Formats: sequence, C-alpha cells, structure tokens
Amino acid sequence: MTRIVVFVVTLVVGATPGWAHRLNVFAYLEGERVFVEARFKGGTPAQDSDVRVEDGAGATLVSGRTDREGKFDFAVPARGELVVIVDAGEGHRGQWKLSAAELGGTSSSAASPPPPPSSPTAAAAPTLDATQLEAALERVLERKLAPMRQMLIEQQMREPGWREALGGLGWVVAAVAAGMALLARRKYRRP
Amino acid sequence: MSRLRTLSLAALLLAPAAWAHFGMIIPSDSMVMMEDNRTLALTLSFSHPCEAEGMEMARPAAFGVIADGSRLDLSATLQPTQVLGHAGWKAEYAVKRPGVLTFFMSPQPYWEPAEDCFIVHHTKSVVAAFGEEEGWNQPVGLPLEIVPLTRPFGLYAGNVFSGVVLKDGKPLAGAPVEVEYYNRDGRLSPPNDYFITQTVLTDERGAFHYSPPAAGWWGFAALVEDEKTMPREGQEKSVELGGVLWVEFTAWPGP
Repeated sequence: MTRIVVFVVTLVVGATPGWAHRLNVFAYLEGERVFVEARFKGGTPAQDSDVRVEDGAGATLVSGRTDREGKFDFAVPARGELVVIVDAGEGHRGQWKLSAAELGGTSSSAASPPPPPSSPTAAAAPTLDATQLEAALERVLERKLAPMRQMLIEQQMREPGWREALGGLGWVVAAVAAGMALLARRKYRRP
Repeated sequence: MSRLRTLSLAALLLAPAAWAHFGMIIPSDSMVMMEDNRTLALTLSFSHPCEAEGMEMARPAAFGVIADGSRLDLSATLQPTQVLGHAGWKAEYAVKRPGVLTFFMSPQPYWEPAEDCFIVHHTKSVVAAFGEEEGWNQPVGLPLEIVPLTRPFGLYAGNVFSGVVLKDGKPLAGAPVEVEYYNRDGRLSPPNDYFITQTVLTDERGAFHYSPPAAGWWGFAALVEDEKTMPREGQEKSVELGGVLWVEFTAWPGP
C-alpha cells in the first residue's frame, strides 16, 4: 500500500519535464540487502536501466536492471567498498558509492599488515605522550559513539509522517468496510 | 492605522540601516553530496550579520525541517551555543536520503528597546542532498516568508536571486527586503554604513531580485509591521515581523 502511494506520488511529482536529464543514483543498506534508486532530474524514475555493482578495484560483482520505479536491490556481495553504476543509455549515467564502513566491513587497506605483537618487555617501543593518548582515545570513542549518537538523533526526529497517516487511514477504511459487510450479512439473513 | 503603518514602513526605510537584525540559520553545507560529511551542523542565531555582532537569542519557539513532503519537529535536537559571542543554538541533522530540506525557525519575540518594538523573524535555509532538487519552492506556511523563485542552492556569486514575499500565504507588494552579507570572520569592512544593509522592494506581485557581488552566505529579510501588537509592561507595543531566507553563493571556479 505505502509502496504504491510512494510510487504514485513519485509519478505526480516527477511530472515536471526536465530537459537536463541528469541521472541521480542513490543506494542504501537495509539489513543484508542494498537498495538502489535511480531517478532523472525532475524525479522521473530511470526504468529498465542497466545496473552494475563493482568493488573498489572495478570488478563487477552484481549486474541487473531497474524496475518500473527505477529501483533495484541485491544482497551484499562483499564487505568492502561498492560502487553502484546505473546506465540509462544516451549518456545518462550515474553512480553511488557505499563505503566499507557503511557496509559494516573493514576497508582493504586496514586489513594489510597485522600489528606487531606487543610485549611488556618491549621498553624500547615509543610511548604515547598525554596529548597523543587523548587524541587516540577521542578517535576510538568517536568511532564507537557515532552510531549511538546517530540513533539518538533519529529517535528524536522520528514522528508520524504522511505515510503513517495514510496507513492509519487504510485501517479505518478496512474497519468500516468490515463493519458494513457484517451489517449487510445480517440484513440479508432476515426473512 | 494605515497611515501609521505607512509611517512605520517609512521609518523602517529611513532609519539608520546599520544594526539591521536578522534571524539566522546557517547550515554547515548548502549541498550535501555523496563524498561530503552527511551530518549537517546547523547554527541558529539572531544577529547583525554584516557587522558580525551577536545578540542573545532565547530558545526558538519552533525549529523543524520539511523533507520529502513531511514536516519534522527538530526542537528537541537544539543545544545552546555561542554565536558571535552571544547565546545562540545549534543542532545536528543526519542526511539519510536524496532530498531538498527546508529548515525553518520561529523565534520567541525579541524586545528591542532602541526601536521600542518586538522583533519576530521567521527564518529559513534550504539544503539539497545527493542530487535531488524537487521541492525547493514549497512554502513552509510561516506568517511571513520568502519563497524562492530562483533555486536557492548551486548559485554562483553574481547570479540574480529572486524570491516572492508571502504574508499569510499571499504575495506582499511594496515590502522592503533587507539584504546582508554574513561577515562571519569580520574581514569585510563596508565603505560606509549604507553598504552594511542593502534594500530592495517587492514589486506588485510580491517579487524581489538581488545579485550578490561575492561568494558567501547572504541573508534576505522581508520586513513588515504586524497588525497585532504585543503587551509589554502594561503598554501595547508594535511588532516587526521578518521573513528571512539564507542563501549560499559560491565563487565562479572556472576560467
């Protein structure tokens, strides 16, 4: 239901003709799948367009085509960086990059040399001074706290929008329909 | 009454242009692109932008955003901060999806003893994200508001910027729109006081036009005296209504 409404709204909003046919590609992760949306400037969906998903090195991992709503989705093929390229032909091409961090993986560069094993006797190793330690701690804390802060902000911002309102209306309509059906049945049962 | 309004309008136009007050919403970025920081930092204040002079701002009565056609109340995200050495407000907003975000703020009335009136500036700033650009001319529905006629992002310094002033949703003819550059670092010293605040008037359809000479954030403040007064210490005082829009202009990067 919501999907259809969103689609209709997209169609209505997208009715403005755009002469500059820039192609906007957007992709986001939800659970274990990546959802892709491709729209022209003005909002018209890029239907039945080529989608290619590459890793950071340019190797194709997934390919497919967008649907009538300019959408495409796929299971996360790898935890590294992904580049989603949509090609609608006639030079209309757009792309979106999903970083390794966004996909919950580690970047390939971080996976290179493992840190040397530390030992308590390695007194010769350079020690961190107070400011360096503070900076390092701040970096770690920032990394750990960023998602939590994001969650907090989102929670604060969330409030019923028109989608929820429409969903609610749907329930009202359904309830009224059920009631009428019940009444009608009673009426017809009467001799 | 109408004579009084004409008089006060004249006073607005003739009064020393220096010390023009502006409600302000300055986002960290007017266009959020794929590679950019996706958490916007917004700074809210009530200031004299060109003179880089701050004023104390009480917690805004309303702060929110219109995104994807729905309106979100963001007042719970406001944190106190200092702007130009005075109390202001800040907030963070995580940009999740492509879209045009219209941030808006309605302040508590500010008592200005020098002008013997209250000042209420309803203020907006528009941010575009990830290539989407539909919806930049949707009115928020503020009592006094500038609705852009020029797309308010991706503008070069020197581009003509046009907007229409709506009072209670209807175009307002002959209204002064004050224009100021946000002299954030105080590097600009205007040649004389006339240059601090420039003024354009709306035409019969409520539209105005302005072409900023340099890159940076520019504020447009449509001003009108409210029909309603507000009491202060047993006396009814007039209210200066402002509809303010902040727009970023970028230096021409080309040859």
